[in-house]
Amino acid sequence: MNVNRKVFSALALGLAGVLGLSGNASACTFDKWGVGGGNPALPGTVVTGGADKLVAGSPKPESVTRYQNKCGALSKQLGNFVQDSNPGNEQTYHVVFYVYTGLSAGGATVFRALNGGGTAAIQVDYDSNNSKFVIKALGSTDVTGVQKNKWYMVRLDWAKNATMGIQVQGAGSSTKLSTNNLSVTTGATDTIETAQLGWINGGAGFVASGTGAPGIVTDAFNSQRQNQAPRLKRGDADNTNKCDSADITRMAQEIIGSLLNQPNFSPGQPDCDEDGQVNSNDITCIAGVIIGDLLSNNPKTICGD
Amino acid sequence: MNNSLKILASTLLLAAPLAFAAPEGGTVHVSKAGKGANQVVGVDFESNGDVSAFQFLLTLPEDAKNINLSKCLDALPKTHTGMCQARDNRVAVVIYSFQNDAIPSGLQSVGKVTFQSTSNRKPELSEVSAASGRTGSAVGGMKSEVTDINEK
Repeated sequence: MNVNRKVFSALALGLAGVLGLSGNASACTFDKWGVGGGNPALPGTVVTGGADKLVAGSPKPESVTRYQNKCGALSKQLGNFVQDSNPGNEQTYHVVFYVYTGLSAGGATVFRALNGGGTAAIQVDYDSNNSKFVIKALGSTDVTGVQKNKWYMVRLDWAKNATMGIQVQGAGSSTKLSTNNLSVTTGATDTIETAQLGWINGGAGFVASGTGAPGIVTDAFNSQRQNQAPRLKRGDADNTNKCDSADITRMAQEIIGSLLNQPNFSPGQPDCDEDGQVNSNDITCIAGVIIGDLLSNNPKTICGD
Repeated sequence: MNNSLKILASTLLLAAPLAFAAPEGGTVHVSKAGKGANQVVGVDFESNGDVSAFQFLLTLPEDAKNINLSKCLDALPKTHTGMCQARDNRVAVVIYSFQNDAIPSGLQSVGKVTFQSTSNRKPELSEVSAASGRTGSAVGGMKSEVTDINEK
């Protein structure tokens, strides 16, 4: 799991204002959740692990799908989530994260950003029965066409007393399920004080009906104060921020390593078709992405923005 | 058309020892044969022995039509496969191996593209890049060469 978020101390606030700095966490840990004061991290029974079947804090080896690098964070049941209580008086909040829709039935609240009163200023629910995300601020909007057992990017651009920008894209599609600026308005006086990610309970309005199979997996969380959080390039296996034939060979290395039980994970996003597995379908997928980019007038549109 | 292809292949094979200097990464060779309505472009790859995958964009004359890609990957070794796709007068090609096999050193035929055009302009090659299955990363020093057999 990669977590990339702001450091919310007064000093960092000033730096972030000038440089747009954000913090980085090493893969496969929850270190960045709760660091710097406020409530401690609440990893609960969330486990982090990659396809190498090494899972920190888990009593037995298991495989956890990931979107980027080596590890994802698996929430197997309601109440398994991480929390960062460091955001302070944030009047703008730009966040992107990746969520794997691993529910066989029902729904789950996968992300919340709470205001100072502990009420959700932003909430993202996954409803597997109706194949949609429900994204809430003051209002609510449905993002439909969401498939089970796929990775989706959820990108939100929040500011108080404004219309929230919403982008959802995944399942190997080169087009977004939603466009910018759906009609979800935000609170006039809200500020963001706390972020939660995983399979969330507590407070009001969370969704508790889900059946995990394997559960909600999250990865590559990134929040920023000033600018839209960047989308990761789908299929950029070698993490060079472009899609080319080197991604094919990097994927093939990972697949061969997996077959030989010699883990050789790609540093970027090898799961091109975003189905939670890295296999030959991803090589075919990235070849299609490369072709699309070569033929596109804007080479970045297929690989990712 | 068949005669043109024979001429193309023969020309490349005969010219190979003289014309193809050992590149750092590899060279995509494109040779156009035929004039007028029916033209054929042969594609060959000169490997350094380390390349497993490569890509390029082939731009045909602007009025190119009836672009036939059925033989685009026809000559690849069994270890490799790929995709060819055309849009307007551009043809995008990606070659790869699911097993990350390297293309053996030397000249390897890829296939051919046929099209109709009133122009005798040479096609253009761009976006040439390649990667090593051994390292899983890009190979530097890729080159491209476009030849018009009719000019020889």
